[in-house]
This record gives sequence, C-alpha cells and structure tokens, in this order.
Amino acid sequence: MASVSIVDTHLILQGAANGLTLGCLIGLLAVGYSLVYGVARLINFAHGDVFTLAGYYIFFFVMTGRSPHSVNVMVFLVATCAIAAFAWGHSLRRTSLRLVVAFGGALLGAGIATFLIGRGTTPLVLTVLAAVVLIAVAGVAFEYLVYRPLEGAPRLSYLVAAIGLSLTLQASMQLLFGSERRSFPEQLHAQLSRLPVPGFLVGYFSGLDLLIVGFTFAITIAATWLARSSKYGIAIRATADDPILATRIGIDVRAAKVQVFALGSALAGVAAFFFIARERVLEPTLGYTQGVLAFAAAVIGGIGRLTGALVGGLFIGVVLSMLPLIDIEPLKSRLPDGWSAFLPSFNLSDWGIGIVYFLLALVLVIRPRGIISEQFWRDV
Amino acid sequence: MKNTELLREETFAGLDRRFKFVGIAFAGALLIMLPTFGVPRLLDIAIISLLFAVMAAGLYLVVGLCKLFDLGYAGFVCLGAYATRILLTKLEWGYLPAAVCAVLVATFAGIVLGLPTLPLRGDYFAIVTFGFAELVILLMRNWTGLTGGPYGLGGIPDPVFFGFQFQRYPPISYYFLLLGITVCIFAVVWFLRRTMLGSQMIAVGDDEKLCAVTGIDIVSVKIAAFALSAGIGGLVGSFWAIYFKFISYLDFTLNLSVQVIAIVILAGDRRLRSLLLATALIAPTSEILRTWLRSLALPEASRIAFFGMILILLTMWRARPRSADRKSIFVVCKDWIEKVTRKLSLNGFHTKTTVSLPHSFDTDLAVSGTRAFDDVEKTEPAKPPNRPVLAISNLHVSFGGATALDGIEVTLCEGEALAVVGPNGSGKTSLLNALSGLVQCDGNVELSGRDIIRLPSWIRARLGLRRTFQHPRQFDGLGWDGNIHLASFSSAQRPLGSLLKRITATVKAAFVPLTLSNSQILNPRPESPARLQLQRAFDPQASVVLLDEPLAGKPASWISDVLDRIRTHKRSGGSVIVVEHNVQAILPVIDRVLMLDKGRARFLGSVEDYLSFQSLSGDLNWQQLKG
Repeated sequence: MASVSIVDTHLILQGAANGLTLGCLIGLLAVGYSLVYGVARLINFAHGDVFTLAGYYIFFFVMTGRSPHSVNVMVFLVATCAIAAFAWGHSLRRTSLRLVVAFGGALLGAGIATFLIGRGTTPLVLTVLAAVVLIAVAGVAFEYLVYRPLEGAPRLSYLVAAIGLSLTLQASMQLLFGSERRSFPEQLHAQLSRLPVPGFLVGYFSGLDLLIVGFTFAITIAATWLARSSKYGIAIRATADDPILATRIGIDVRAAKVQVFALGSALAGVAAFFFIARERVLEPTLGYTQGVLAFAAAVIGGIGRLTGALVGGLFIGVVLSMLPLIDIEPLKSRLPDGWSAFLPSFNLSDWGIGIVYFLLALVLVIRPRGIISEQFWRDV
Repeated sequence: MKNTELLREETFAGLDRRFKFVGIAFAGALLIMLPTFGVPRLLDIAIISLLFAVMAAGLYLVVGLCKLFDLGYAGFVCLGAYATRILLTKLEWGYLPAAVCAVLVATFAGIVLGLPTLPLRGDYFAIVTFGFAELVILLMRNWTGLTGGPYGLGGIPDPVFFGFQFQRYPPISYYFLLLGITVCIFAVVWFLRRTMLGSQMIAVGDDEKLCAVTGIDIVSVKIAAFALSAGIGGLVGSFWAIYFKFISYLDFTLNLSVQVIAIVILAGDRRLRSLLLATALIAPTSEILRTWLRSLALPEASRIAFFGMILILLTMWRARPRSADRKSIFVVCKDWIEKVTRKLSLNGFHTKTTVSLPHSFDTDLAVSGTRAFDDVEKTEPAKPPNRPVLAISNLHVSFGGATALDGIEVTLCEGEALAVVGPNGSGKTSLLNALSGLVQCDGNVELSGRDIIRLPSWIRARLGLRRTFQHPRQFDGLGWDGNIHLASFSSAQRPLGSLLKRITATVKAAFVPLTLSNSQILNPRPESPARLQLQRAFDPQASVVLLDEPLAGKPASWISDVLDRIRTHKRSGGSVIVVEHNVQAILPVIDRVLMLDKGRARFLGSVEDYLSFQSLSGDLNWQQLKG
C-alpha cells in the first residue's frame, strides 16, 4: 500500500499523545472489567453503563441549580444506598434488622445527595470522591440485585443477566436523566486544563491530559499491588482460583466478590470523571461504546491482567486516534470514476470501532482458551 | 408393576397427542380467522408476533438445540432486509428471487462467521457474534452509496406474487404470506428435530465430550445449525423489508437480538410448543406495550428497560448450575514446552517398567465381587495372540506441571482384554482419555495400523474406538433409544474424507429419521445411565472398547452382566481395556494386566503372573481366590 502515506511527524506525535490519553481512559475502564472478570468470572457487560451512571452523578453534582432530573438522581442514589446497605447487612440474621440498616443507608444516601446535588460550590475533589464512593455503592447494589441470585449458574447466564442489566440501566438513564446530550461546565474544564505542564510537552498534552495519564498509571500500579501483595488481594486471588477451597480456608468469598465489584465500579467512576472533564459530553449511550472498547482492551491485554488491560487500552487508544491521520485520498483517486459512490465509506475513522471489534474477534479466535492465562501471569 | 407403568405412559401419550391435535387445530383456526375479526391493529400485532415466532425458530436451532449463545441474530435479519430491498428496487428483481438471494446472503454470512468462531467457549462466542452484528450495522451505516447510510432505505414496492398483487392496507395478503412462511419454518424445524442431524445438534448442546467419543462431527453439526439459523434470519429480513417498507440499521440493534433471545430463554426446553407459547407471551406484549407507551407519551426507552428487566428475571429463573472445565493457553504453552524438552532430553533415557514391590496398591477396594467368582473355571484359556489392534508406545500425558502418564507401552491384540489397575491418581483414566482423544498427549498410538494420535476424538470413535465414563454420561435431550440410535448412526458414518464428503454426510444426516436404525433396536430398555452407556459402547462395529471403572459403586448383580458383555465382545474378535479397582471381580475375563503407579507402568503381564506378583507382596492369595 505505497499510496497510503502518513502526513507529518508533528501530527503523528500529537495523534500519539491524544491516543495515549484516550487509551488511559479506556484502560482505566478495562482495569475494572479485568478485575471483575478475574474474580467473578463474568463479562460485566454493564460496566460501561456503570461508567455512564458515574458520569451523571458527577455531572449533577457539579451542576449549579436543580432540574426535574436531579430529583431522579436523588431517587437513584437513595435506592442504591438502601440496597447496598441491605446487602451489607446480610450477616444480620433478622430481616427486620437488615431493613433498619437499609433505611439507614437510604437516609445516608439522601443526606449526601441533598448536600451535593445542585450546589455547585462543593470543592471538585470532594465531589469526585463522593461520586466515586457512591458509584462503588451502586456497583455493590447491582451485584446484589442481579448477580448474587445467579450463584452457581453457568457463566453464560451471568452474561445474559449482564446484558439485561446493561439495557435496563441504559434505558432507565434515558428515562430518568434525560436522553439529551449534556456538556460538562466550561469553566471547570478550563480550570482543569490550566494545570501546569512541563515545557517539552506543551502542545501535545494539556494539564488535564497529564493528570489523566498520571492518575491512570498510578491507579493501575496501586490496583496491581493491591491484587498481588495485600491481604485483600490474596483473598481475592484465592477466590478467583478456587472459590470452594477459598471458602474452606475461611475466606469470605462473597465479601471478596463484593469488594471487587466496588473497586471495579470505583475505577469506572474515576474514568467517568476524567472522560467527561476531557471530552465534555455526556449521554446515556456513552457507556455502550466505551464499555465495548474497554472490554476489547481487557481481552487484548489478557483478561485478568490489570497491567495488560492498561496496555490494551493504550493500544486501542493509539490505533483509534491514528486512524484519521492515514491519508487515503491517493487510493481513492486510483479508482475508476463513479466507483467511490458505490463503495463503503473510505473514511477510516468511520470504521474505528469496527476495527476494534475485528481485533477482538481475531484475538478470541486465535487464542480461544483465553488470551493470557488464567493461572499464570495473572494479577487477579 | 412394569406393565401398569407402561400402560400409564401410553395413556398419557394418547391424551397428550389428543390435546396436541386439538390445540393445533384450534390455534390454526384462530390464525386463519384472525383477519375477519376486524379489530384495529390486531393484524399488525399478529404479523409482528409471527415475525418474532420465525426469528425465534431460527435462533432456537442455535441457542435451543446446540446451546450456543448467539448475540448476533439481528445481523442476519439486517443483511436479509437490505439484500431484499437492494435487489427489489435497484436491480428490479421479483420478490421470490430476491428473497431466495437474501436467504443465501445470510446463510453465507452465517457460514463465514461460524467457521472460525464456533469452536469458541460460550461467552466468547457470544461476544464475537455480538461484534458481528455491530459490524453489519457499521457496514450499513458507512456504505451510503448502497444502503442509504443513516437515512435508511424506503420506497419498497408491494410485491407481485405469481400475478397476485399484494396490498399493504389492510395487510391481509402479507399476513397470509407470513403465516405460510411460519408454518413452513416450524415444519422444517419440527422434522429436523426428528432426524439424525437434529439429534446431533441436541447432542452437541448436551455434552460435547460425549459427542466426541460417540463419533459426532461437532464442527459440521454446529455450522449446519448456524447456517440454517442464519438463512431463516435472512428470510425474516426479506419479509421485514416488504412489510415495513422502510429499513434502517437502527431497527437491527442488540435490542432486537435480545427480544428474540428472551423468547428462546423463556421457552426453556426444546419443545416447539414452549417456543410458540413464549412467543405468544412476549411478542404481542412488546407490541401492545409499544402502542400503550406511545399513547402515554413515554419514550421507547421504557420498553427497552422493561425488556432488560425481563431478561434478568428470566435468567434468574432459568439458571442451573453446570460444571465448566477450562484449560488456559499458558498451560497449553507450558505443556508444549515440557513436551519438547522431554523429547529433546529424555527420549533415550527412559527406562522400561521395573518390577518392584507395590505398597500403594489398594486391594481393600476389591472386595464386593464375590458372586463373579462362580465362573472362574469358565475363564477362556489364554489364546495365542492374534493380530494387534491397538499399539501404544511411548505415551506421555501431562497436565500443567504434573505428569499423568510417562512412557506407556502396550500392544492390544484382537479378542484380548487388558485390565488397567493401580491406585487413585496413577493415570488410569488419563490413559483412557489419551486413547479416546479427550486430552492432549504425545507418543504413538496405532489403531489397526493407522496412527490415530493426531486424529480428533470423533474420528477415533468412527474407527471403532468406543468408551464409557466412570460417571455415566448421556444426552439428556434424547430418550434412551435416541441415545443409542444416534450413537450407532454417528459412529458408523465415514471416518475420514474430504471437506465435500463431510458436508454431504452432514446434509445426508438431515434426511435420516432418528428412529430408523437397524442395529440394537431389539435390546431391552436400559434401566440406568450406566447400562445405557455400556450398551452404547458395545456396539457391533466397535473394535476396541475402553471401560472406565464399570463396576464402581454397582451391586453384585451388575458384575456378571458386565463380564458377559466383555466375553461376547471378545468372542466376536473385539478387544477391551478395563480400568477397575475391583480387580478380583474382573479377572475371569482378563488376559493381561497393566499396573500403573504414578504414571508409569509398574507391571505388565498375564493374569497368573500378576497374581503371583501380587502374592509376593502378600496382598492377594491366588489359592484363596480359586477356592
């Protein structure tokens, strides 16, 4: 393909830098995917929608003024807090006590929600922290509602339930939070972008981009350490390896699963903040595409490997941002007249997600038993 | 007791049949009378429900029969719809050739997608098919010149069918066309289920391991199911195009697939009537809900949320535990590296079996078989060895780091029975698995002079190598007779052949009814899965039968039955390998004994030698046994 040429070194570098940031956003989500897959052995199709939900939390927390949708967010928060508290109280024998705990959770959720929603004056760090915690709570609630009843079922039913959860979440976000495209407040975005940048990176990265890259690497390393060396991580890995044996040696397998769901959802929350702060858009279907990209990244990097998920994310990010730079005009001009009207689009960026699907399928077909091992080289 | 049971069964069968006929007649009359009811929107709802019924029947072949989770069904419908529209208006073909072409396009897409992806594990297969559907959507969006891209395609004319002009308002003619299609498709599926091919699909869905050892060509069967299902999807697409008059890729998203999957999951079992019932429950509900929501000015999203929740609840309802075994690619690599290193370093180093005193041999398990000793005197004298059938040399099996079998060398002759004994974990079952091709191994295994080590399990079965499992397996979706007929049919198919021969064999299997099988039809009904698998294994065409602990946990009466079967098989020139803990019980029919310990052959020799070897170690007294 001699006729396909790449334009300019500067553009390439810019594309690569953009791809790096984009890849970090995908990678952060993929780490959560990998984490959940590693322990619960389920392809959490709804992970992308948890990501969107976190985006909405943050959006409604930083937005000043309330709208009818804010009330819905509050209802959502209260409900997830109540359910998660009910799930947390499973060691209490009596249902009445659990209901009391659930009520407490609901009150707490309502308190946090009234404190945060529509204020617009809370410090950003606090807001994001609260959103991350709340989305972790939501993750626990979804695990309790949807996946817990399936314990012991074949893996496929987990996938089906996850798809069901994904559709439900996506549609209910459309219903409850409005299906219109929303944009992150301009002045917050500007404030974040003004963060200091070392001189040699100016023009390639904004301050926010550096923040994203730094945070992603730090979080991935921390999560890897947590999974490899900490007490919790060892319990989690034992659960992943052999849940029955883990139960026998006194590990609370359920608790390990819940922790993993909470951690994965929290990572999705962080990713959601970075995503909406950088791209400034938010819509209910956002998580669908992002979730698929993240899943592909997790598979390409070896599902169950946290660092691998990040690498896969970076790879996909760079590929996606490089696509528009490939010049296909020379190829197009070689076609006989009028042919291009009958052929599919030549614009490579139209095919971005298709290429990712193709890569995903290719990896799965060539290495059908799991890309990277489930026993060796695994973090979770 | 038995008679009354049989009588009751027959009575119920008769009742069932009567109900079935009444039900079908009633439903048929209702469906034919439907246009005369004059209820507004009723016909539209009926048409959409019938469309879903046909789609569900198509998906049923893959999800219901083969238990393969196909998330990309909407992709085939989409291809069919666009193909029909393009052929109808751009090339101005008639509807019939356009529909045929749409079916072919979808079938072709199904085969192309299925070939590489069908061996994938369940959830990965689901993801890849999901990706396929998304790719189809992307193609339709980006191929603006042909498909109209985001604007969709409209202006589809009412078709003319053999001179009959269709009318859209009211859609009575469309309704009857679709009713005809539905009846045809359900008839095809109904007949398919009663053929060998359909039974093979059920078998593939039930137990792939058992399929492999009964000689079912799993890949061909799966591809047949997938292609057929895709073709039905294409047919639905072609009707979709002429009925809705406007098509856009937005109609064929995951939501459509999920609705069809919800129907198939709700149906739950493999009966067509469950499928029809599930369609009747879900499809009209969905359509009525759509109208109702529109009248409430609620967006479409609430319907999708409703379907998502339905899907979750259905899954919870249908969830059944089932074991899954996996082997990761890293283990495979590691095995491979170990194999290579072993070949490089240990090939000449390996010492043959050494006779040493066994301490770990467990005779305490061999106690219950006293009744079988009655016929010790009937033991056939050791015949001079005949032609060798199975020659095993230098067989190695390892799992991850652990070596299960290390350099086994045995030759089995015609009419010979070999007992494999040894403590738990000594590699007895691994030997059977290696021979029947269920685990990766290396070395040399020749069956009647043909090297079978590289052949897949199903070809080995067709070459005459049968086996049983310690924990009896069976195809739950087929009756006991179905199990036996299917096994004897599949294992009698041509063992080897070109791609074309494999395809013709698969197509041919679609025209052989399940019940029409000449062998074993007069055998009495086996009362337990263990007896069923014994009957399946001792097929007249079997040359070597591998039995995995046939006596474990069985009553004494069972022993003589097993021994009789082995004797008959030997008399007709077949050979048997028996893995058994209860050594004394099977000695009467055994010619030689192979004793394994930690994956190595510790002893190989005649029964007499084995017994003296045993009495040396004081474990077993030959005199005591004879008395």
